[in-house]
Amino acid sequence: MQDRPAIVAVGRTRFGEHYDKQPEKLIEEAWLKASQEADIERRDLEACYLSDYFLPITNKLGLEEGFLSELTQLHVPMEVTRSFSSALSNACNAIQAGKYNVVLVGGIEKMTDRWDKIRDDLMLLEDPWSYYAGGTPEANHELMLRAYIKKYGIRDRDLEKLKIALAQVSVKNHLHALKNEYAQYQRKITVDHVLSARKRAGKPLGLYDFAPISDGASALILTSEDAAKKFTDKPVYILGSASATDYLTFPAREDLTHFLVSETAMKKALKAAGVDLWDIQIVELYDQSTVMEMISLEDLGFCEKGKAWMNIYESCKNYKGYYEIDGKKLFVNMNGGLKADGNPLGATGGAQVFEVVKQLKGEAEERQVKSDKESSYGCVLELEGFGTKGYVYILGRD
Amino acid sequence: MSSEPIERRVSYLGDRLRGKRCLICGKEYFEVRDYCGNCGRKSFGKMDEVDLFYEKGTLEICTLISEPTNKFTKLGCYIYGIVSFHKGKIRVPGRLTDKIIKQGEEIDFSSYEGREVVPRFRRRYSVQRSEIIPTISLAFTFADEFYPHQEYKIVKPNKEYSTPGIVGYGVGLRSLYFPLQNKRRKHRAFRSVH
Repeated sequence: MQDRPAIVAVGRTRFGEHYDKQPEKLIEEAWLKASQEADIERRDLEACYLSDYFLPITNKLGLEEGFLSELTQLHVPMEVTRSFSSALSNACNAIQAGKYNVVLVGGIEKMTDRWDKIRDDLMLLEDPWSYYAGGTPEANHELMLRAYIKKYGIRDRDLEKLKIALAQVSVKNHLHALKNEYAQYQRKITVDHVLSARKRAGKPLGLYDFAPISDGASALILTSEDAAKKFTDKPVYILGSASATDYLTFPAREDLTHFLVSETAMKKALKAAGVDLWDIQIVELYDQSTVMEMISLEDLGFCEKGKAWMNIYESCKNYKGYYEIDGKKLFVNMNGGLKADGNPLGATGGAQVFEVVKQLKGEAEERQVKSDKESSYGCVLELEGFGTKGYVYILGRD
Repeated sequence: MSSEPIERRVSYLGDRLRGKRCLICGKEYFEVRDYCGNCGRKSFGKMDEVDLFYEKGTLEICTLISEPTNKFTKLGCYIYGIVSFHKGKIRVPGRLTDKIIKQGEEIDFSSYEGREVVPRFRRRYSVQRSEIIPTISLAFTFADEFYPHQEYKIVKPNKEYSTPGIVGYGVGLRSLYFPLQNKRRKHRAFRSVH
């Protein structure tokens, strides 16, 4: 790819319950961290791409651009989109078109400000019919699991193994989050915790299977390839990016056990980046539920369809810090994933990119993975809604 | 998240589970649309109406909802799933009524899956000072646990968008209700409600 956009700095806040902070405080904190890292001034920015899903609902902020312009005293072009990845995608397009050289991409979300109604609001990301029929944000994940079990005829001992494998996904993510200072939940859980929560709920998935409701912000500074050298000597390039769209109505999709969007976007992104699938060793998946992590491993092509749970089960028997798939290492959700790191929708993608950038630069401290290849690549998958939109980014140092 | 115009539109579609079928490729859609996604422009005017209200569906997959959204708090625990009609050509989300589930009860979902269901309509709530009582038919009951036939009558609405036309338990086997009528007459009877 000619003129690859470069990420020169990343910053984020801790995810969690920030009852005492205004949304602008959160984005300010994330932006300050990023700007300090690259030693960048406000006046260097040529444009801002921001993302949030629910600020107009949770905090009654209508035109976020104007609000942020007032706070930062910037008069540059600003655009607001829903997910961090779509903001990043717009920023990449603008940079590759040669329109801007230095832009800020940021995401904010303040979900706990409306903790009593947020589950109804989350249904905005699904089709209205599911809402009218009595669906909840969790229901589709459980239905997908049921469809998966039915399609691949998993029963008896295999079914028990599948259930434990899903519990291990959650346990693994909590384990990774222990080393992440920004994570919402920095505590260890066990498989028994997950299983007993499921039993209490009387459902296939329980409390420990789902990502929490969080507040938080993340930001990154994206520059053109030439401009990057001014700010840092080791930028991380966006080698390939792609997105795809699927029907809003989950039941109307042809295949209920997979996300078409991740599969399509991954194929396009790999082609754009000119990278082989197994050159990628660091992956940040969008694990809103443990099922989503399992399904995404299959969709991205790392596991065979219908087999991901076996790979997870075998790798997690005595977990070494990575999934072992056909003898190859795959580091998944090193920051704890959405499960333990937190899921402030508009800022989540930023935290995922943050993690991959830190890992590729070798600045992830305790979480740093040791790649067995000379040049390793990272991959970020972010979904909007329940697989309605999917974004894949492939990042690399060279 | 609701207003009278929304409720009127939703109830027009949802209360009868209306859909369309493309006469060219046979693809079926829940919700009324003027053309088929496969065939595009050619299919304008070649879409047949589908009314699933008197059809039997299959509960494909299901799960339990023990903590509903605020809109359904009153219902407590219920079964929610995906119901398919016409051998999977149309899939809609749906919830089971008449199935009371106690908190903490262990459920074997596979015993529910694959069973036949029939659509029901229920009053959800009444909109203040407006004439309409929103109901919805994305609620189903198992066909074999269904009540025996009961009397019902078709009420002709005075406006195009109005309260649902059928009062009573208007579901079940069509042949039970109209054993002697021919197909065309049945069709006309339903038309008047549209």
